[in-house]
Amino acid sequence: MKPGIHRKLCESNAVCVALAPDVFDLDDDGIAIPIVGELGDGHEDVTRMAIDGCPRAAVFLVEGE
Amino acid sequence: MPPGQQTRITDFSHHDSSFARDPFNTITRLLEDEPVAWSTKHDGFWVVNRFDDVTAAFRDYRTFSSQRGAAIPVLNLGGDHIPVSMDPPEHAKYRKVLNPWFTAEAVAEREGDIREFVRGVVRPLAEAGQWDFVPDVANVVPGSVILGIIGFGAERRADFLARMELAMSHQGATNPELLAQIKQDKEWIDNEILTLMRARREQPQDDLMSILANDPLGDGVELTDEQMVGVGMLLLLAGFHTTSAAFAAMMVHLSKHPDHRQWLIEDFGRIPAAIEEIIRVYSPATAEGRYVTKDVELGGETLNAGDMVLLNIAAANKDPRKFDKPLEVDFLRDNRRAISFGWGVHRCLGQHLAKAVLKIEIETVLELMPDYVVDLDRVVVSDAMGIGFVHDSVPARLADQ
Repeated sequence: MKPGIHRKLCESNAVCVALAPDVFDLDDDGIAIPIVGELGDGHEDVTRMAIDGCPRAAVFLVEGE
Repeated sequence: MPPGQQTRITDFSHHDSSFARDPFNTITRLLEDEPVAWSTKHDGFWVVNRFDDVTAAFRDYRTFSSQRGAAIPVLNLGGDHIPVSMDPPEHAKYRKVLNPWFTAEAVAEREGDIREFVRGVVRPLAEAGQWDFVPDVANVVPGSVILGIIGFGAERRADFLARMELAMSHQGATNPELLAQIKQDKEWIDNEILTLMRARREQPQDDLMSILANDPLGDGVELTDEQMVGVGMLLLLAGFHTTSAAFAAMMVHLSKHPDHRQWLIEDFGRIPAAIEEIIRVYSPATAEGRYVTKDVELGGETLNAGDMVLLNIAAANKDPRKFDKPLEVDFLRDNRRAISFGWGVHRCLGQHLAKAVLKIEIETVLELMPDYVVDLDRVVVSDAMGIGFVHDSVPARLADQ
């Protein structure tokens, strides 16, 4: 599964970065970006929490290949 | 549980006047000598100071629970604030109701009205020639804005502001008369919230209370009176003292640093970054409390299930391991990692609103009274900084008066 961020929705709340620091970071503009192409072991739970926690519903997962 | 034999013991309390009178040296000492320490105040709690430890605890909401509230000791205006006193997944249900009202996008739509209101506050001061930034601006604007968003009419605002101010500025108070007054004020505010709730159940309008009063979670269940007061009190209090504190700190800072004032006057686009830096150094929210749900190691100490923990935001934001020359105000600093608004799922709901209010206040002052002079000898810094870095008084005048 691949994590993703809708850049136009992101407002730098950084909830995803706090919950899943190994999956998301903030870029130079303060916008969240995925820092892994594929979720590693133990990433799925925190990524789903980030999806639930994002105030802008900007976090998503692309399932499958 | 009290600490083990090797544990560092501290008499630090964020509510002590000794902290308020010397916050930066106290923070530096905590960061170096007592990164995680057991305080003997307020029935005992851990104080956690370094950036990495504080953010790790904020991230791990299962171990560091909010269910006993976010304050040590419990707030004098009640501790069952919703959703601050909740953990996921319950927390997310309420955040989802509130979030749309506080996104940057939603706040941007209110900026015109806020600007008009702020001009109405600042213009008479410029005409009068002298004023005090704290009661005359800082304590008026944020409270009025949030009361308006919730749905309270302008005529109720002065009554609210006086009561909120009294309670929030006496967070550690023990004087029985004062406590009785605060209790009475809380009952008055509770009653106002419930009265508005009932009015909006009768006749919904285009305001946040109309959403909260009418099946907000979409599960067919109305909030109980207790839940409504919990949400309402949080909305009223969270942005009041904090936004006020940040504005006063900025006005004082720009008086001490005319070059910084000039830098902002030259380009108002620099104001948002300046706000981020001011609130990193002069933390409007000093710390958040959490409750330990299972034994855990943090910063070399073992915290036990049942312990209370104070996550010291003010200290973490000045950790030299994270911020170069941390006590220096540098408007060009990269503050993306600063945790002035907290961190994790509870990160401040109202941060975009607070930043918009501050931006508009600062722009308006620099437009209408760019040469304002603060009487620095008469500036009063609060003796109570448990809530945030607060100025009680910032007297000012026009330059040519």
